[in-house]
Amino acid sequence: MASSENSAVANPSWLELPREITALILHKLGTIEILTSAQKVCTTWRRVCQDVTMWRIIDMRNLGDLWATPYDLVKMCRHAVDVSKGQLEDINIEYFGTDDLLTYISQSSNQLRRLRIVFCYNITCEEAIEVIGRSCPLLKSFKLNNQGSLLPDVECDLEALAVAKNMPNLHHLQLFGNKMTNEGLQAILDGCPRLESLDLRQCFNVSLGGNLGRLCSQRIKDLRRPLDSTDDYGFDAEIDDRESFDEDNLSGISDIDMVSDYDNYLEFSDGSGASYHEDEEELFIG
Amino acid sequence: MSSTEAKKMVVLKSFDGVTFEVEESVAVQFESIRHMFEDNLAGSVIPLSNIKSEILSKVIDYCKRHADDTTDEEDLKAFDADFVKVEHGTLFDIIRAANYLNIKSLLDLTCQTVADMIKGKTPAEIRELFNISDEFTPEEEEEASIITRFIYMDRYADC
Repeated sequence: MASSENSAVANPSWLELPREITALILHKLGTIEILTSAQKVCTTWRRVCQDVTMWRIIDMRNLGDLWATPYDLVKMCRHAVDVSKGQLEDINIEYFGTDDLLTYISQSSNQLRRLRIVFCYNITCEEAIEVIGRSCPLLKSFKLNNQGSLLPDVECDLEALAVAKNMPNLHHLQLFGNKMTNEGLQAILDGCPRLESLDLRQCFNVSLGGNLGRLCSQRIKDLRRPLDSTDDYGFDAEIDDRESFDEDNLSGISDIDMVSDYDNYLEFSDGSGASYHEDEEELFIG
Repeated sequence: MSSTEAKKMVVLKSFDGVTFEVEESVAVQFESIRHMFEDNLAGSVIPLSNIKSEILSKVIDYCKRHADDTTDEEDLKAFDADFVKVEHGTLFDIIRAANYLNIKSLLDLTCQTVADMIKGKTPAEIRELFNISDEFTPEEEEEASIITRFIYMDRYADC
């Protein structure tokens, strides 16, 4: 073995690392860097990147400055989904995304277990939820996060009702900054009997005071309440408290956003992966 | 503090023949050899024939810190950050050792370190950083760049 003599070699042969270790390292880069950079480094890395197992997790994390990137993230994401050849289990989409893309993902990926959508304003959420629910019966973790709003009269239960109706097997749900009311929440509790964790931070139309709050506490092991701290959120948690504004289009279209718990995210790879919750096994090692 | 005298010890022997006596509570983090001392082979020496003493000593140090529940989280983070400030060759060897011994948290920490070194770099810069020679065939080169072109925004298509 090349480097087993005495002290560490100054220039170790990184290409001699076992494939799965190289894959683990490259995974921590996120999908965008894998596609635009890592796979172009050398034949060894390229082969690692071509392996289907590499694409069970697609993490389209980015800085949100879409106009500064020369890449079309929708196209890139589609490409990643193609390479996953139906084995996709875990996907994270931030700041971009369309209804078509989500339909494409869900119809190509019936093994999908975890989906996180963060600040994707171009998606009609309730429809997307229906398609995903229908196509991905194994879905266990769903995160759809928005900017919390204190604007009065902005209530919308469409997404909550769609989740309740179409995602009965969820174990983990995060609807950060959602406009749902207690009615939506009740529907979720009824429709998703396996729910273990529920994150309702910045869902300001929800009131957990009475029976519903008690029911939540009894049923949900890990409950985050509307006013709980957002310190570990990982995304911008600024609340929209502007005086009315042209957001009335919310009525039918309701925005979708995603936030995610970055803390859980961290569990996956100590700093950069895309893992969503404690009972979710890692996909790459072991 | 747990009892001082009754601690079970395990003896590990590195590739270059150096032995290390380690508390079992530390050695249990070595997933892949756990069975060897759990099967009550206590007292016998466990050979780790592909890990050098210099690296084994570091790995043991890491596991000791992580087995110590009196260390608070901040200190542990600081320890980890410091732990990976090593030469490439050492980092490489620690990764291999962590992989061989199956120490998940150490493998994650070291692989994350490598990933952080790669982040934001161009393929050419990465090759230089890791001393990788560009072994692409022209066909592969072409194939890789086709993908890149494919993902360029349409608005850049004419550039």
